[in-house]
Amino acid sequence: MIPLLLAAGIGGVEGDAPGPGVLETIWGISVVRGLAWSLVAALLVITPMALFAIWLERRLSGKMQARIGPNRVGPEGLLQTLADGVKLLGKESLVPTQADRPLFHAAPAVVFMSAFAMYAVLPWGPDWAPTSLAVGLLFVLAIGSLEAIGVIMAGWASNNKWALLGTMRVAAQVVAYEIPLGISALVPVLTAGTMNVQEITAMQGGGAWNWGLWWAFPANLVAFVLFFWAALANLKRAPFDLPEAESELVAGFHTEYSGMSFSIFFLAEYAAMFVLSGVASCLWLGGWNTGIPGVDVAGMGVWGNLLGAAMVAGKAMLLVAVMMWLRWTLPRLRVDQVMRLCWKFFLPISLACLVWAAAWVSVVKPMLGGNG
Amino acid sequence: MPESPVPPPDVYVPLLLVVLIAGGLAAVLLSVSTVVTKLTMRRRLRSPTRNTPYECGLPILTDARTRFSVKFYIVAMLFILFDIEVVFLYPWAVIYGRGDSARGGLGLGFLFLELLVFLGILFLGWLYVVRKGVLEWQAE
Amino acid sequence: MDIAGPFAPVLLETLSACGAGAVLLVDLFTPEARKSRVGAASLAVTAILFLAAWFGMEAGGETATLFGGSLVLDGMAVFLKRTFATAGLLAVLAAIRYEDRLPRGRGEFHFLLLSALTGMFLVSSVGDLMSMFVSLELVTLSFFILAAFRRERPESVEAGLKLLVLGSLAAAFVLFGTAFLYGATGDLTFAGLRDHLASLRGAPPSRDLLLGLLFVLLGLGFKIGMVPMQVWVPDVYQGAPAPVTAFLAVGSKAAGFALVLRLVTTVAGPGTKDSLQLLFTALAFATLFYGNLAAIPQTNVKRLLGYSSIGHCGYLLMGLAALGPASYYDESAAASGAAAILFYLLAYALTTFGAFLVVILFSAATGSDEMDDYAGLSRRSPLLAASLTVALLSLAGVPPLAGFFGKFMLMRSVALTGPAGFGLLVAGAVNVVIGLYYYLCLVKRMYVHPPKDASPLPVTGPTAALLYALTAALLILGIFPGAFVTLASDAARAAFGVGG
Repeated sequence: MIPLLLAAGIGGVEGDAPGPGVLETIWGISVVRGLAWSLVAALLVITPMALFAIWLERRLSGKMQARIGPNRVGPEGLLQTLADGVKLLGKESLVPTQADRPLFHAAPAVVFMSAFAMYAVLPWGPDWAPTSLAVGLLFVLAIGSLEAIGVIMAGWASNNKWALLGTMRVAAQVVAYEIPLGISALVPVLTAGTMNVQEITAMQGGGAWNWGLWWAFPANLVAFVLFFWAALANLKRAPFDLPEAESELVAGFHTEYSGMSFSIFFLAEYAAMFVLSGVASCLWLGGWNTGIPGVDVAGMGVWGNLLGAAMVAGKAMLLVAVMMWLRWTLPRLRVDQVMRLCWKFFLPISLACLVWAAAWVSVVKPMLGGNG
Repeated sequence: MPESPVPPPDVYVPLLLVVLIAGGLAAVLLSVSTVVTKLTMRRRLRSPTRNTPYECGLPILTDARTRFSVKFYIVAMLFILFDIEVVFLYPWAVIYGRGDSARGGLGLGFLFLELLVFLGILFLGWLYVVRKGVLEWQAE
Repeated sequence: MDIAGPFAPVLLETLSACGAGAVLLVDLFTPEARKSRVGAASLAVTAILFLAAWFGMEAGGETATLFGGSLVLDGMAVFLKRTFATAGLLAVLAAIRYEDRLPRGRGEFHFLLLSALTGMFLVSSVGDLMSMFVSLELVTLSFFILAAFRRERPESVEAGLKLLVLGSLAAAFVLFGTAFLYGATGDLTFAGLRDHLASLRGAPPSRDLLLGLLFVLLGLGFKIGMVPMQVWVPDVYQGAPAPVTAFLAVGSKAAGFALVLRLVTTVAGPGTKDSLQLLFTALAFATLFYGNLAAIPQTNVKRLLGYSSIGHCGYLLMGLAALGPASYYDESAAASGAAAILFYLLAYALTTFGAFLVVILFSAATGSDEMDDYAGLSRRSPLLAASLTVALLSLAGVPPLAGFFGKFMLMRSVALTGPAGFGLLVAGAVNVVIGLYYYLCLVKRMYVHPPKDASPLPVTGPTAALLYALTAALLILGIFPGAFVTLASDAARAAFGVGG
């Protein structure tokens, strides 16, 4: 059922070029595809992934702190998050007095929308991509930065000192790390010559040594690390979690949020974690490629695509797990340290990567001959 | 690969739908929660402090929307400047590898020098920001 | 210039942009105690630019274009670049004498002067409407900050703010006009505009095109201080730091006129000359009388020079009115008008800096710009008084100074247009008399009135040398104008496509 739906709804983007006079047909197909993808993504990808990630976070935290973590609801506590969600559904959403009501209610939707929409360009298999957008990576960065606007809306609308303080920190931090994030994502774009995430992924077939990580060595390797850290900062995850530092700012921008609106923020955060990890894995870790020479998912039909989807999900989840691991390993930074790290280290290093990648494309690659 | 200047609608329509449905989904979840809350709650607690903004239990003295350090605004300005540079770099990066044919004769080495000029200006601005102590938040 | 290869048209711009960056670097890595190095670096950059402009560029060379016609290097561009390089050098020389009074940011001050200069170089060789807007904005944006540079003084902030608000309005005018012109012709380059007009074969151009031209001219009119757009001039001239005022007076006016000339040389033709001539005659009338009459009651020297600069804009507009009516249409008259404008701009640059240098030195010593405080200056410092007198007489147009010959060329070009120019000639002559009156009022104060404070104002060696040099330049330009007139005429003829 699931692969069937996927194949019917979102498969074969490259294939159907629009012929003259069939605009209506294309419109119909694309509407169907968009609807199908959205529902598939919502019901089968994002929600389970986010629920799983939240469970993983709690379990991993438990293990790292030598305690057990949730283990009662469902096998190994897997259904704990779902139960929490159902509970939150019945909780009242309080709106503080003097809050800016329209903004207050719109903020979680904006944050959720931006996290969700990033999935639209994440390829799951050689034939499975919601859209084959030529400016895919730009779209990810653009729509992803909308999240900051939602967060700022939330903090401002709450009319709470801690929320607003956290918001200012979010604004400064997200806005600052957007730049190294963008520049480090530029490095694979430069080496691949396209912004289409699906095309970049397709170039990484064959063995794991063909992955983007090793292109223009070491520019892409460094860029991957930078992207990961900048994504961490953009997601407001530890050690960059000072915008919601619970020991000083209560909960930062979502201090005043309760019930379902709080859980939407929560869901969006984990969804964004997962999708940014997924994009990183597509840019540098081969995406749906297995990395084993000879095992080429592109020629294996639906099963190949399923395997590819599993590869993307696995790689992304691995990166998510690393994010959780870092949370319990590194202490929180101060605001000035966060800023200094970004402007004084990440920005120049990412630019150096870009220069090296450009030099590699224009000088080293022609000397090596072929694709190096 | 030849690219048509106007992308077919089957690329952008799903995108639009995804964005709309994402927003819609959040709205639906929030509304369902409101309805469920309304239906399940027996009695609404009413007290003057119930809906006040959280301030560790202390009475609210001042408005939350006060003035913030100018540093935050400087970061915002820096962001605009540098982010625009990054946006300029994106189309450049895409066509960079094809520069040889596109730029008849000038070649990739020339394109690389152009990058160095562009980044050199950027670097000068960055150096200015760093040396002027804009990033020294601890100075005060 | 073989080293520059195809980039010869932007050689000067590249040099000045790199120089601006270098000055900023010097500032960043110089300890507070040795900040005079910044000025020295800036001086070195402008000196190199000055030499490169006057001796490194061929005036009569082939017209070169770059970036698909966005930038053009022709005779007019070279002449303007030389004027700007001279003005830039003088501005930095003046700024060095001023910078002790800047609370902070010497490096930025010089950097912005150089970035404005870069913009002016670009302005002199723009070939399409987009690069026109961008280079014009580079000039204007630099001046926004420069005018407000002494932010501890309310006048300076007021000047910056007025420049910002009204300058943005003017920029909007230019952009609107650009949009209309693009809509009417489907081309952004001046060459395309010219081809479009030529294709009309004498028929009147479309209303959109005329509207676009009018918008662009109004926007540029802001830069030159032309009458409906002149309100900012006195306040900004008075409030901005004096070297900035001098550079703004010269640079903004010359940049604006460079573009107006480009536009007019492009669109002047059988189909448009009537309306253009009428327009510029009216504008010249209004600007001349407004500037010169309003200057009479002024008591502040910088403000006086501000109003007088509006008056000078009026004289310069006379050169544009020399396009001639239909029956007398003569390209050589039009070219002589353009040549007169170019020569006048050069003379005006030297004269204005001569006057403002004295203003800077005087206010550095006394802290005042009031005309009454200039009383008895001839007894306190004969050199300052004499330099200012020569500069003012040149502004008034007294022979044998540079300003006289500039006015002579402008009047001659108007006279060449026949009876239609008669009214404008009379207006010009009347205004010369009005100008002479208020300039001589200041001269009278300096030489006849007794000083309030008789303490002498010493002038140090290098400064004195600079004053002597400027005065000498005014005299030389007035007595031996031949070489420069030839340069200006060649430039203008090339721009109008009239054979040398």
